Amino acid sequence: MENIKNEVAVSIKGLNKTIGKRHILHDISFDAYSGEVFGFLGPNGAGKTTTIKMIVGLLSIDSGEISVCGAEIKKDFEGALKNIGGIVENPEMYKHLTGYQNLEHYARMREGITKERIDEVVALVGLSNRINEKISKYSLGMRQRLGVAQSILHRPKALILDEPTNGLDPAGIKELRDILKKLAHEEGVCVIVSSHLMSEMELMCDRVGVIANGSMLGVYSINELLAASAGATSDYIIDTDGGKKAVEIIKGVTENVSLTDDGLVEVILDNNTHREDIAKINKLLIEGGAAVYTVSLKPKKKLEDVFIEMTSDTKEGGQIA
Amino acid sequence: MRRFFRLVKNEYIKNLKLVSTWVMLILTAVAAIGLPALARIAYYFDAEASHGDTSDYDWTIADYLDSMMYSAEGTSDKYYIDIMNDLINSGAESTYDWRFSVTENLFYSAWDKADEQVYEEYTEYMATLPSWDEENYMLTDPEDAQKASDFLNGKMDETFKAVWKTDEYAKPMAAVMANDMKAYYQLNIDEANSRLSKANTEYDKQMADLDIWYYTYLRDNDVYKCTAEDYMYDFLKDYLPQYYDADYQNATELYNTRKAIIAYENADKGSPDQISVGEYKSAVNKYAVYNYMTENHIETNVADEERDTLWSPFKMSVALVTFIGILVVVIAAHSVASEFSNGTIKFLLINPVKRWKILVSKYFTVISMGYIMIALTFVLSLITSAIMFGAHDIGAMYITASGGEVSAVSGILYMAKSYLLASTSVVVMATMAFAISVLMKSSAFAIGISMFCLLSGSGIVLMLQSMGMNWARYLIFANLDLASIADGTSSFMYQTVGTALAVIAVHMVVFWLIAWDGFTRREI
Repeated sequence: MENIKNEVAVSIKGLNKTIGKRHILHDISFDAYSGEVFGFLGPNGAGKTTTIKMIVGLLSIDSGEISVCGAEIKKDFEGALKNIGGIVENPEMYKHLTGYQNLEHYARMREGITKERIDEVVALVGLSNRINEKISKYSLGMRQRLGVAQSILHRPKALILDEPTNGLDPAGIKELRDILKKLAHEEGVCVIVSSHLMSEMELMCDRVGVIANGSMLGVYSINELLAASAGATSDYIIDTDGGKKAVEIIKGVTENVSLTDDGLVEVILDNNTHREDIAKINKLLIEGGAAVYTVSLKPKKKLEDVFIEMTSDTKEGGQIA
Repeated sequence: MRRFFRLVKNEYIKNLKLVSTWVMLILTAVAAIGLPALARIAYYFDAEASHGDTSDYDWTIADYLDSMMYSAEGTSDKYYIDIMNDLINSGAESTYDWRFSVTENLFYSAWDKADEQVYEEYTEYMATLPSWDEENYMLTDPEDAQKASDFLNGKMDETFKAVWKTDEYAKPMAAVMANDMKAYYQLNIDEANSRLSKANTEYDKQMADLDIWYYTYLRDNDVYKCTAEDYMYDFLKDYLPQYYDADYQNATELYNTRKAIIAYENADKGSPDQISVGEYKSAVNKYAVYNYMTENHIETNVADEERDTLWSPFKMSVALVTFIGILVVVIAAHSVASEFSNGTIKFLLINPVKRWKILVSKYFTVISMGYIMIALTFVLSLITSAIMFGAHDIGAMYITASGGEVSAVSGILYMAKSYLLASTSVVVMATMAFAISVLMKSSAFAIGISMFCLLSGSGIVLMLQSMGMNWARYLIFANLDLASIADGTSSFMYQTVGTALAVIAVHMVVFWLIAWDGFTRREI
């Protein structure tokens, strides 16, 4: 998986954007590499789409730098855009043209796209049977597929998709995921996918950049996030009639023990030794004459919760910034 | 350049796949075909109205005599009928035959002359009668009146016969009876020559010279002497072409114009009547035009309002350019605004093509589509006009004169120029619609404003002008009608094509800057 990931495909440094009086992006910086699927994660209104629009040249750059495969967008617009493919927001096409005519329209704005390539891509996204119908007859899912076809038509080195799973059925989502993974891992494309769903990112991405309220919270690999959610300890709840006596007994094993309001005993054990420790505690309690009714492992935090924890701003009371 | 045309091809495909574009193209074609067809129908009914049933107009001399119900009792009627019957016997049939009107004119002229000669004797005779009332100049006794009438008729009888036998009438009548037009012209030349030798004033001399030129031209070019009134010429051309000759019409126009000029130029040298300076100036130009036409034997001048040629509907078709302007404004407004309203602007701009290139490709597409529609209208109007009115004078020239200098250009070329001049306002309004649609991202807004300007701009200018606001001359609308500015017939005095072009250029630059800035810096 890590074999092609070597060079920086999209590099963003100190990006700022103010629209009207609102300072929308604060010093956004991250690098996305060739051969990886980079998740761009954030709640609604965090600035994902704004950032993406700046990468594809739809919005101007107030300050900061965006380079695509070494070409800086401000200085060499055509050079930078040549290597980018993308969908921003919904894939809007010319409704009075057919899918094929839309792709031809796109092909004429770029260099070296052959008819064979168009057919190949159409087949890849599974639209071969419907490509000669007008877009006005397409469902949202079909338009999403056509959007993907258009964005990869010219074999871009960086593919930027804004919430590409919108409107896709579960099978479609899986297909798309497979296509993107294949592009990144086998063809060395840098794929940047934005989403507000951690669960989706988890299945698709190698790394995730988290953005909230226009600021970058950090870039993490999925493995790091999984570990973070797993934590270093396991939390056990013991239902016993021992009460304070039981706490005293357990303190012989670990100091991390407390009595809850319900009279249950909560024990936090190191992950490395928690199995042995809990067996030992159980044994000591029984030996100490306490009746043990249940011993249960408290459920772990999900990745989703980690994300919400990271991005929620309690001061704002959940309002979109 | 190849990449640019790929962008243009995209724009063309987007436009041509729209049903509305085809509706517009078909409307244009219908208008271009329909206008000459309508003109033909109108001409047909109008010709019916003015000429009635053509048989009403195609009179033989015999029919004419019958219908006049000459009593054959009055002396004048008796001679008239006799002379006309002689004419019929000599082979003249139609009242449009040159012999008929020449004979008629000679008869009345001779009769008047005889009348003049008899008049004095007649009044003297009346004074000798007993019931003569000197004060009221009448005979009170009916018997005396009858005597006087008999005396007059008897006198006229012999006097007219004598006059009719003089050379002045006998010679031309001989030419008429022999159906010898050249001899008739020659008599007129001789008469003018004798007048020339006796001429005392410069005016008389020039008039005699003119007559000599006129009849010599008619003689030498075998011109048929048309005798109809001017308004009958179209009828003759259509129904009795053997009695029509364009050279005669032109030479006669030239002759009459020259007469007016000579009268003006000899105002203090014995000229009878004069025309104004303005009339004189236009007469000089008219003279130059007809001089050119007679010298080159040209039948149709595109500059004339000749309703029976293809040029009449074809000239009208220039007005269709304004109609095309409306369609081009719609296309221009739609071109940019629809990309925004449909969200396809993102699809369009996410490409490695600088925005200004896309804007230029859109503008190029709009303007070129406008010119394609204008060319289509030109060709269709020309073809339909030719089908409706005949293609025989398609090679006719547009002949005008200014300051006495003739300029003659091919009618087709003149029309192409007219279309191009008319297209100025189309381009300006399309550019405006383009700028507004970039700025407001709304096609409805852009179409509304531009259409309003296109259709009511000149009205607004006229209104401002009538309120005495002279600055209105610098408004764009006051400068779009280049054709009338060039002719000097625009609403403001002393407008020149140069200033008009400058005003247009300034507006175009402003529109372009708005569109350019709005499109290249727009946050999407």
